[in-house]
Amino acid sequence: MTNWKDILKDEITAELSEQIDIFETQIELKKLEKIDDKIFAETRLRKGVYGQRYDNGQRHDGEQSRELKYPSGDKLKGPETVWDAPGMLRIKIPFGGVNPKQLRMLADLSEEYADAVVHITTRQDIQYHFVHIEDTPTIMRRLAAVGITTHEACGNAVRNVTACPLSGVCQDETFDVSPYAKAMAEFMLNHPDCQDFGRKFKIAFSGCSEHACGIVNMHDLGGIAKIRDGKNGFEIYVGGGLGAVPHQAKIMYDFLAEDEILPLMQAIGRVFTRLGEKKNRAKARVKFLVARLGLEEFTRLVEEERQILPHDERWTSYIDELPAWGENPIKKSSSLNGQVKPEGFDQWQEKNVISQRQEGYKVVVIMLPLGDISSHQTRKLADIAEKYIGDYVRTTVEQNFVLRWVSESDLPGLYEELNAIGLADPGAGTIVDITACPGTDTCKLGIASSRGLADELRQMLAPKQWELDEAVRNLRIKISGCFNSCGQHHIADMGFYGNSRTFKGYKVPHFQVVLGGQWTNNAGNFGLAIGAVPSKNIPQVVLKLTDYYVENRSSKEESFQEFFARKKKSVLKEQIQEFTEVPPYLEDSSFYTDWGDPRVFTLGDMGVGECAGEVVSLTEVELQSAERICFEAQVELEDGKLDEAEDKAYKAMIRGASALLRKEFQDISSDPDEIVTEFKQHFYDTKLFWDRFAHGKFGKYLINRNENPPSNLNNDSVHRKIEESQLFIEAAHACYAKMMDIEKKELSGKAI
Amino acid sequence: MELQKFGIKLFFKPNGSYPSKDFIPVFHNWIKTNSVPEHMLIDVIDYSHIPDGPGIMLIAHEGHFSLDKENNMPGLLYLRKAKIDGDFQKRFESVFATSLQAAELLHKNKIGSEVDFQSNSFRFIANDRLLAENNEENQELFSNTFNEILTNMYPSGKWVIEDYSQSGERLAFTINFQDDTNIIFN
Ligand code: HEM
Ligand code: SF4
Repeated sequence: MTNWKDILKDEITAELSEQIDIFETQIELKKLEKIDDKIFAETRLRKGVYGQRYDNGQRHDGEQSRELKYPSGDKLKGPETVWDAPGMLRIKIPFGGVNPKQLRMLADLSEEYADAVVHITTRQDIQYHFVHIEDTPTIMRRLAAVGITTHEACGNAVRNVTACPLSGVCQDETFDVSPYAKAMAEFMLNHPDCQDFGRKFKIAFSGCSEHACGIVNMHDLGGIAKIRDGKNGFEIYVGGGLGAVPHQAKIMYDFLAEDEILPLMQAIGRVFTRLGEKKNRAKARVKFLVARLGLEEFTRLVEEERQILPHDERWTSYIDELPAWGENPIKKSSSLNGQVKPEGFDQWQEKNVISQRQEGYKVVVIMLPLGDISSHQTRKLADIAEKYIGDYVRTTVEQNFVLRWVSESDLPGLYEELNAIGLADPGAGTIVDITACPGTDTCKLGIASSRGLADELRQMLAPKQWELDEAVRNLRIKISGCFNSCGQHHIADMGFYGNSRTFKGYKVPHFQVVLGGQWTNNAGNFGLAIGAVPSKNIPQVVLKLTDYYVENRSSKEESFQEFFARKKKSVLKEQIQEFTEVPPYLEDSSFYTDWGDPRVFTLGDMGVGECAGEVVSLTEVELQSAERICFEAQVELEDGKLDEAEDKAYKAMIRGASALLRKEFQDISSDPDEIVTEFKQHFYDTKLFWDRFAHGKFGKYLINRNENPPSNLNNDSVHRKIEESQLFIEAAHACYAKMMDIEKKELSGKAI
Repeated sequence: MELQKFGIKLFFKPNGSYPSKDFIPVFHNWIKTNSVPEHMLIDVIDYSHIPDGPGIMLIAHEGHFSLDKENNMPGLLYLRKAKIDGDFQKRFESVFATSLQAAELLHKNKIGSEVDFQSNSFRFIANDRLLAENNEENQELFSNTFNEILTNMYPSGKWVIEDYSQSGERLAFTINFQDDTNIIFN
């Protein structure tokens, strides 16, 4: 037998096998140009086959944009996506559960088809990068042979169902949510009622409401374990989600019995399919439907749908099997008494070992830098898991692995074995355990290097982690490469998201500093931006803000969040002010490159700034002042002045728009309506203001606000308006940079 | 022997300075100057934070180059991805030649970092568990093939094939020359 399909045919379920065969056929059809690019793109996304940076066949080498001439020539695998360009493959890991056999397969495939690295995502999934599309059916078959699918890992579908990685062993949980997450994942996979969504749908389960492991509040649908009258059930949340403008989920039911959760999702699926937005991606998540209909009406429609759903055995069949659900440790429980502790053990144990509710057993957290583990380490980890715990490995949303059911007396031996392969870094769950999205390394939308920054911060903080104040040590940092928030920066103590600013014609990578996000209480609060800082200054900002907290907190009991909630935003902004300065290029060119990337950020702009001199700086000044007004809006919100805050958020956009108009016209009106009309005519309708991926979304924020001033403001809605305003200003910066590029091209054209 | 996906690792001399993040700009420069013939170089990825991993990687359509750190045996690894016409000897010669070219480029880097290679050994890594499963039969088959190939390439050389990879890992072994054969550029 010379192909995996034949070799594995008896090890793959008929359903998975058929799905993969169909996909393979679609690949063949696409090669014959018998499928439209857009349709093929959604088809492959549903199979977890994602695009990757530079797959449009262009890459800037620091001096010029160059064509990457793949052998496949013009053949595409989606709009502007070259066939041969390496891509990403997302692999679904429901509730993060993986066993040694699966780990070995993940290691093998990463070597043969990717870059020998297994990457853990912020939603407990696994990703490979630099994968060729034609290898994907084979990868899928080999994964399917060990019970893993990539189906619906991306695309407008029900994505990976996540759950606390400690569920089943956690001291604080109400009950083990893992079997429910598993049942939900299996029930929704390829479910006919969820095939026509306008956007992705994410589900999470949590065992308790206090801790963050499940981060239910930021999901489209979430359940927190609850017992009522002796019956298991869930507090149900709906309509949450991160993304450019984050939404807190709303409580749909304060208790829903366990046997109703699968039919609930099915009914939601039908309502979302029927009424959810399909055309405008930016408004298509279920959170917008809930907002549009109101929670009450949404719930009514879902209940109506629930009533007419044809009965399905699977709604409850897994519940009958629950008593048999459980994990069987391979080692007897024990205690650490009298064990010789190897060097470094105590420091590692302090944060990386968690007591289970089952006495004599521990959970060990393997902290992975940037969520990465090599194939070689993964294979060894499989051996270690087999030796000490058996099947019970899980991935976490903090991009780590946990080993459950470690018998306590095995800890020293386990530590030594992990340490030998570089998997015993101490400090899990602390300020050195940084989360980052793929960012500019591999993501097409990345603006700044989130992974580069995370690596830099980790290297800066790791050696001194024991010297840090305990409260500082326990902080979480999360980084996204752009406003889309795949790195979940909104829910970190200190969050950062990438953007860029233009200084005298040069582009400089920046990060917005987002403070006040809450990781506990299932991501109970989202943070707000306090200012953009050049990427190269972010490490100093981290030190400054943590020092400021330690020196000025009212007492040791005042948490970082409480402290920042108490402090005025303007005072916080002052703290980072000194770091917002960008030295001139000739003085320090390092600011004009990103972390771990020597290419100068769009060198092509250099000449332009010098030519356009004053005009440039006038627009820049005005864009800065738009940012300031937006910031003031946050301050108003903080003081509970909702109308003022909303008005400022609007004015900030007006200022941003007028900054752009000023670049084009000498005389511009100061009347907001006229500014919006001019903006619409010259920037929106011409698509100059459009973002390549978000299209007209950000411009619409201004136009809509001008046409329909909002009424009935509340904290949430104003918070959102401020986010929108911030995004509009980001887009204005980007638009300005685009105008400079065009101007540069025109100038060089003239020179020739 | 149908195997197409395989690689060669050339070990760094233990006393040489160890390539790390400093080499990111070197690889970027290779891209800019199209330094590796018959390769479309795409991007550089920094995996230096993984202690037992691929280090800094240069991704090309035809194969990946990395300053690999696996098993504490640092070296330059070239793993071929794209097909090469001809029999296995031809494919090997081509992959080997690319590895040597890359090693030479690395050695002559312009950042002043000393990278020297062990001139009398290299590791062969098969990267396809379908066509080259790691079992005794294949270890023997590939060892014999290498003995033939190396006899053609180094008629007077003396070598041993050892350090076979453990089961579960990809089929791999190291060829250590026992005489003064120099496989590296001079
Ligand atoms: C408009 C485009 C995108 C939006 C709005 C978006 C938004 C998000 C959000 C909000 C999350 C995580 C938090 C959550 O669970 O809600 C997420 C996850 C993630 N995103 Fe994106 N994203 C976009 C495109 C991309 C792209 C192009 C990449 C790069 C390849 C990417 C990579 C990731 C990764 C790796 C995760 C964790 C994934 C998982 O396992 O599901 N995203 N995305
Ligand atoms: S946050 Fe932005 S840069 Fe990061 S993965 Fe998401 S889309 Fe890409």
